[in-house]
Amino acid sequence: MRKLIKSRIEKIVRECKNASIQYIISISFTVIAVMGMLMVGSALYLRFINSTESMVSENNKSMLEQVNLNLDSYLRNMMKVSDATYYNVIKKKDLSTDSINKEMDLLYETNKDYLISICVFSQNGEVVSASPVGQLKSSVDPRTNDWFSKAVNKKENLHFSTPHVQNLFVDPDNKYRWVVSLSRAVELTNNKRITSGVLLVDMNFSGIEQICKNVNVGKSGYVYLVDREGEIIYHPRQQLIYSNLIEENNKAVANYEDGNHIETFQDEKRLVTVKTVGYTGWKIVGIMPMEDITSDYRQMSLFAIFIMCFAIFILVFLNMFVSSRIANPIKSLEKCVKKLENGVKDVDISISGSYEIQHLGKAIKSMVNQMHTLMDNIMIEQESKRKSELDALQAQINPHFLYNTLDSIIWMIENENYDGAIIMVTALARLFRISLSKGKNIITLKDEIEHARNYLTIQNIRYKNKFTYNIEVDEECLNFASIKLIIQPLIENAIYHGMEFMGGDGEILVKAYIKENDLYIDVIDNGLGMLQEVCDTLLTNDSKIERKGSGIGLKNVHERIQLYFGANYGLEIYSEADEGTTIRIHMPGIDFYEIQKKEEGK
Amino acid sequence: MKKKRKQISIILFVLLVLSFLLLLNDTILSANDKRIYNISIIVRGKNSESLMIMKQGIDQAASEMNVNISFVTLSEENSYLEQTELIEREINNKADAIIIAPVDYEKMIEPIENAMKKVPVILIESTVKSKNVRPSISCDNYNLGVSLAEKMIQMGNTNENIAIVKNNLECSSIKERYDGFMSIMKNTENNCTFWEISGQKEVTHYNEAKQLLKYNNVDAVVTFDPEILELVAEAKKDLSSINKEKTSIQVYGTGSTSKIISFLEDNVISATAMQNEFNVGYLGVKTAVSVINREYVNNETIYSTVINTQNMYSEENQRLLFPLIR
Repeated sequence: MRKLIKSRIEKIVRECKNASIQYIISISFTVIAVMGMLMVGSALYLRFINSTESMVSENNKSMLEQVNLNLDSYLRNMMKVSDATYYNVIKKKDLSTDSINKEMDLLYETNKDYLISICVFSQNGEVVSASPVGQLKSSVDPRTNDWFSKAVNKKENLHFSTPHVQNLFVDPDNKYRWVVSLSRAVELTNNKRITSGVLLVDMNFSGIEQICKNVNVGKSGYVYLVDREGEIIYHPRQQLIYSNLIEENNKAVANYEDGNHIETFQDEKRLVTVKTVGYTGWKIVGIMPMEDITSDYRQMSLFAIFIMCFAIFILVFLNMFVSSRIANPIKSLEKCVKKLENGVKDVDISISGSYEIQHLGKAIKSMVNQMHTLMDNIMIEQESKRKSELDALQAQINPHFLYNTLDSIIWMIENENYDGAIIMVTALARLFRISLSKGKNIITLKDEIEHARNYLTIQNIRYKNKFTYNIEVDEECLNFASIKLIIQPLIENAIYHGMEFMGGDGEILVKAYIKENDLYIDVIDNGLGMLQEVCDTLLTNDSKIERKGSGIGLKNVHERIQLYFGANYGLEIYSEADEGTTIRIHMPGIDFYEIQKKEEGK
Repeated sequence: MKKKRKQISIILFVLLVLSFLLLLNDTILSANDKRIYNISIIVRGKNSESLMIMKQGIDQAASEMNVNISFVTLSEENSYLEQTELIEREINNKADAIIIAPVDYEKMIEPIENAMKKVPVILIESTVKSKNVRPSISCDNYNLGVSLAEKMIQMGNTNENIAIVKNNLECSSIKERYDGFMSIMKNTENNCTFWEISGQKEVTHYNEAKQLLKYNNVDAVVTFDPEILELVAEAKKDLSSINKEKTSIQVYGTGSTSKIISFLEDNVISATAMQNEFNVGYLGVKTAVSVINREYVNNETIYSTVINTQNMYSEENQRLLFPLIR
């Protein structure tokens, strides 16, 4: 199981890694928002529940307080009637001489709404006086009644009975009233003799009922009244309880303290609020089914869920919108980059979205532009490299030069100058062998010098020793690498431009040496020379000077050196009119065999 | 991605609608709870006073369960024709259920079975001779008769002349009470004679009862119908004021109207067997509501007891006799 979960989580993480930025943003925003919402929602909900519960119980308490107040004043009223009857009427009269009926009638009339009757009984159960005046039923003996015995046994107290049907006097209408009896022991003065008796005040039950009836405790809550022992005095469904159709938890309630309790009665959880009525020991009990409260919770929670769903719905859309606003520029940028990767040219890189992304876009754009120019430059370089190589290749076999040379050889042979012819042919053969060099561009300086020497030999014969030449090479630079066919053009140049107009004392000196690890090859002539300004333009100017000879100009040599070794190297021309010209080749001092080794190593 | 987003939004939207419906449904459901039922109650007498206690039970149940009660009395005592008509009328008046005390346990079978096809019918007090008709709410009438007989014996009627009024035996409750009573009586040495009080009107009933009491020498009279009991008791009371001898005639019966209670208190009636009529009314309506809501209900058996002058004010019995009036 754990493995499964683990693999599941790993899968999700993996998916997240590969997911798009928009997906990640919207999902994580939504998850966070939902979690936040749930937390806030549940916190509020719990708070609501707490406050409702306390509010409800406070409410119930104050409600019962009100009932208590009403009931208390009602009972006090009854007790006052009883007190008045006893202290103001009975005690002041001697029953043998005075009648107390008048006073009792007066008391009865003033409290008629709450009272059914006021009567005084002697200790034998005979009616001493009663208001309203009634005839005691023949079958009735008051002494058997509970209220009577209680009053006799506990003289000092007032006693409240449970509700019962009043059953004392003959009633022509056959009316049977439910009453609550308030009884007390009294002392009757009869002919100056004091005997004991019982004063009974029967309260109309409906008086109590009225007080408790219209108390609303919640939706289906109610209030009932029990006495000290838990016997029900008032209950809104009293008759049902009497008929055993329903039950009430009244016996248990008798032991409850004042305040709120939660009890489970008949599988129903309910909030019970108890308030003890002063003096009587009665308890007002407010019952409120918890369902009344919890049904509100249900409503509330449903509403909260609905609101949450709605908010989540809106949030998800908002998140989608926001994430798309963030992610779309990145996505389009990414698309552009992908196009670039696939080698599409002329990609229009979109610059949109927030500042950072705009910046990114701009940076990429300028980078791409730079790259393009760089690439263009490389292309141009490659192009020119190729071209110059082609030129060099062409230079290898200059038909004109070959023709002249061969002509010279023929001429020599015709004049039977065989030694000269042999020298010439040998030199020519060597020249060509080196200029071919198996197609290599880089050769040793030794070969290059050899090439130049052969060339000079041939040209010297051809020009019938119009000039002299000398080659000086440092021994240590013989194995250095050199680009093929760079000295020959310079010599050719020197011969054509310098020697042709010399009378025969022209000199060409080829000198190779090392200076500061770099290789220098000087080709020095003592020809006409030129102005320094002209020299400077020779290497840069594109305008093609009419060429003779091999067709490889100084510029070509210069470019080739720079292409191979960089801009720091190349040709330098020093010239002075009527003094001569020095053309200096500057190349890095690299051992030829090391290059070869490296290339083989590759 | 686009498809996925569409899916998500659709799911969320459905969720939203569902939750809204849930919310709505809840309020509708709670509103549904407050349905008001129309229930008709057809009794077998014309006097609703005798049914006062039962009516209190009905009213209590009606106020608790949102029921509109239409209380129908007959214009003539124990007329099965009229009862049949009234059933039809109440069904046409769109009663959701009918509670009926059938007057005749054979003749009412058909009308009630017909009515049951249209609306739920609940029987109170009496039944009809059909197994299809249920539920019924009444006490164990046979036992009630037995208890009454035992009470009589207990009160000293062991070898005496007893007159038994055999009116309305076609009503099942009275028949059962009679059967129960007789099952005890036939094992005693009491001499039973049977009276039938004929005549249609109450006045003639009263007069006939008076005649019967006057010219027959009986020690005790037993009836099983509250109406007849009232008449017999009244006749006895009137007779005894003329003829002191007649005071010793003991009257036994069933029922608990306020008249019967006052006769009981005055010792005109020696004992009456009664059932908890409040419960009959209350449970009748409650059962009707349950049946309307298609819940299964059982037949209810109501508590019954025999009351005489001595125990009528006991805590239990006073609750039975004098319901707290609301």
